[in-house]
Amino acid sequence: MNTVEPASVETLTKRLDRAQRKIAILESMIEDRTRSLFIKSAELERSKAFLERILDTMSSALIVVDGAGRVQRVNRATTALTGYGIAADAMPQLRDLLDVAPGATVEDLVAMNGDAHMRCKGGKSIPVLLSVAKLQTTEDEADGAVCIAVDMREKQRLEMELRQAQKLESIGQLAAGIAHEVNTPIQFTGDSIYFLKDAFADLCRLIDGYEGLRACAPSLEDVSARCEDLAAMREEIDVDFVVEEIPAAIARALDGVDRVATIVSAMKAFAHPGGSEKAHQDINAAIQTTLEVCRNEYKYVATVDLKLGDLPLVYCKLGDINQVLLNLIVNAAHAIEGVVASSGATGRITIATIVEGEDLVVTVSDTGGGIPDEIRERVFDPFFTTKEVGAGTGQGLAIARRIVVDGHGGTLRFESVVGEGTTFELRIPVGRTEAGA
Amino acid sequence: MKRPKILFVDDEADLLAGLRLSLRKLRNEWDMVFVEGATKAWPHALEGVDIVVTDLRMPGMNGADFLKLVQRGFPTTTRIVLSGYANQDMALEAIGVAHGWLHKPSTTPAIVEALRRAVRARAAIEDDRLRRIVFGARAIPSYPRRYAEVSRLLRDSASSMEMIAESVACDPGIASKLLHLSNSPLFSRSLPVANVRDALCVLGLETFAQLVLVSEVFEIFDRLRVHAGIEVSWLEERAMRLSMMMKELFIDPRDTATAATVGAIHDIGILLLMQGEGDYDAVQQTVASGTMSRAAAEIATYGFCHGEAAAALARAWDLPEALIEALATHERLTKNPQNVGAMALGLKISEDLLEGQGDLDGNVISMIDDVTKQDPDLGRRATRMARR
Repeated sequence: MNTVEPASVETLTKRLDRAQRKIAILESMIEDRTRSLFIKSAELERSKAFLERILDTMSSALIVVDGAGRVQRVNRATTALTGYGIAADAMPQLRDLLDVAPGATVEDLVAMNGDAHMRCKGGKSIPVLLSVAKLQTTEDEADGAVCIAVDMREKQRLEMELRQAQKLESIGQLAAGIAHEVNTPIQFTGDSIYFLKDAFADLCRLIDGYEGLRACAPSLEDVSARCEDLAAMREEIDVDFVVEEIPAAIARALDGVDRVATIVSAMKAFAHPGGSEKAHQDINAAIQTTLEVCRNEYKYVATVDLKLGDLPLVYCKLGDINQVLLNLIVNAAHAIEGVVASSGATGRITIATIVEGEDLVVTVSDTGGGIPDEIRERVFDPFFTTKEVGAGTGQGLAIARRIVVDGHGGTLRFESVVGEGTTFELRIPVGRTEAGA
Repeated sequence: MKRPKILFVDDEADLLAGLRLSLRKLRNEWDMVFVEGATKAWPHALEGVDIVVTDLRMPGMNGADFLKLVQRGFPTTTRIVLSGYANQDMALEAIGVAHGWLHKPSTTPAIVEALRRAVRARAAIEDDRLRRIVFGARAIPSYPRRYAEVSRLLRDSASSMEMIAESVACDPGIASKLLHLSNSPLFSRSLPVANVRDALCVLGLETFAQLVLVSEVFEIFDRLRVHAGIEVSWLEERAMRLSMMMKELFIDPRDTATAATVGAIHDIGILLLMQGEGDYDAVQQTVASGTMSRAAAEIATYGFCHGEAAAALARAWDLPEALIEALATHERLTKNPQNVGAMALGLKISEDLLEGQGDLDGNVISMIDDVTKQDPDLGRRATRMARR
């Protein structure tokens, strides 16, 4: 049968058409796929760059290590902090950067969370706050760890500045009182010397008179007249009074100079106690110096009872301990002032030192109003103050506690009975031979 | 004359002993008592003293409280502080009651000089009533509108020193107290401060603000005795115009500020008289009737005039001599006009013109003649002002 022939061209054409349509569809599909692939890959690129940017913008150092502690990845902050190159192979092993024991596991690393020191290229050590987290890609096994280290130098600098500021604040408050303490002895020393000057001139006049009398002794009629003159002069000068008062005036002038000298040397000892390093120090002497410096703060409201025990030299930062003592004494005075006000009554500040076992214990007790229950929790909080605005920054006890606890490995506590008074107890190890901070 | 009795109070026995010896030379000039602490000093105050010199910070009663007690009990006593205390809070507390200040430490000659000035200031007042008015003056009356304006300017951080000085210079009470403080060793260690602007610089705006806004040194005028015949607004207007007229007369930059200040504090005398016993309303009526000058009417009623009262307070407060002189001499011109300075003449001319009494005694013309002899330019300016 030849019936197929004419149809076949048509059919072929149709087939060709179909095939061509299929190709077009396929082509457009490929095009679609390619396009979406391109978009996906661009998205991937973007999100990778985004992540990179995040890592590099982070101000904290980020170090990714594998299970064996080999550095896999670091960010720009890490190179800025440590001085090593950005490429992972330019980085040393984690144990070169941190105090990591050889063979430490990921768990050991996680346990290092907290304050640490990071060693930089060139050996410099930087205080950091370390945060380590397990890096897990499968359910059961850790592949490594992500370590984040925050540079603590700025915070430590600010803390030091705050401590310095509090010290300056207390010295500023003291300055007015010290001026008053110095002014009084200068006044009476000056007055006494002024009297001595006059008295000396008077006595010289009298001596001249006696000399004249001696010179004219041969001519007797002159003598009785001169004797009368001298008696009048003696009367006018009031020699008995002058002779009696001169030794007292000299003693008073010397005493005044002594008082000024004591105050000035106490100020010097208080303000520049010889470096900021720990050394073996006489705490009883430090208490006396501090009392001298802030005398004006308490002398109108309280008497001070000293019960100073026999103490060995105590290994401490004297400048810091002075600051703690000052805060405790001034607080005690203010507590008493709050009770006696201007009634003319006085309270009592008792300061005792003793050695208990390995510790030096200093107690400062006052007969003030005590610390109310509801604020006891907050006494050591920074910025907490019961004084009126402008009278205190509320840093005194917060810093005192930091100095004692962080700086000397000691404790600062208090006991208080409302209506009776408060006792602060400072306790630090006596013979520590290594810096605690 | 009886020796003036001076009571020294301090909590330091050594200090008193030092003073007793160094001031011994003056034992024939003054009767001196030295007492430890305010409580023990009170019985001596009761016996009557002329001058009290006290420390501020003492256990028991402090110096400021002691002075307040003395002021209440014995208003004619001169009250002086001798203190080295740098804390301004207590100083500000004593400011309202203390006449004079001595810094501790002061040299013996400085103490002697200050006490002699205080004795002279007392001796310059013959009239007992005037002494009571001057030394007993409790608070300085300020004009309510001025006080409000000064307070507002001090609270506004955009206010300049000039604006505040302008405003203060229109209130005799605030201006004179400001000068009192800026001339005390408490704030000033330098030359006499004779004008409001310099006084503000010496004191510092912060201290001045504390003084005006916080302390109780100032009393608003209408809380004091109310005078039927006198409007506060009249007084306010007067002080401002007097100050402006003085500024117009004295154009030499060395004098302008002092002249304006003389004009500003001039009326403190009138305010003092109003506080004293006596009938100022009668004075005011006499002046209004045009039969007598203000000073003459005051002398008829009180025995002394506002110029003398103002000068007495200026002396008690140890204000600069230039101010005292102008205030003291301007009202008694007829007695010996050749001894009167240009500033006093200018003040009298301004006041007479202001009171509309230029024609009353023909004085203004002759005063302008006197001024012209001293300073022709000043005379021309005065003539111009008189013609208006």
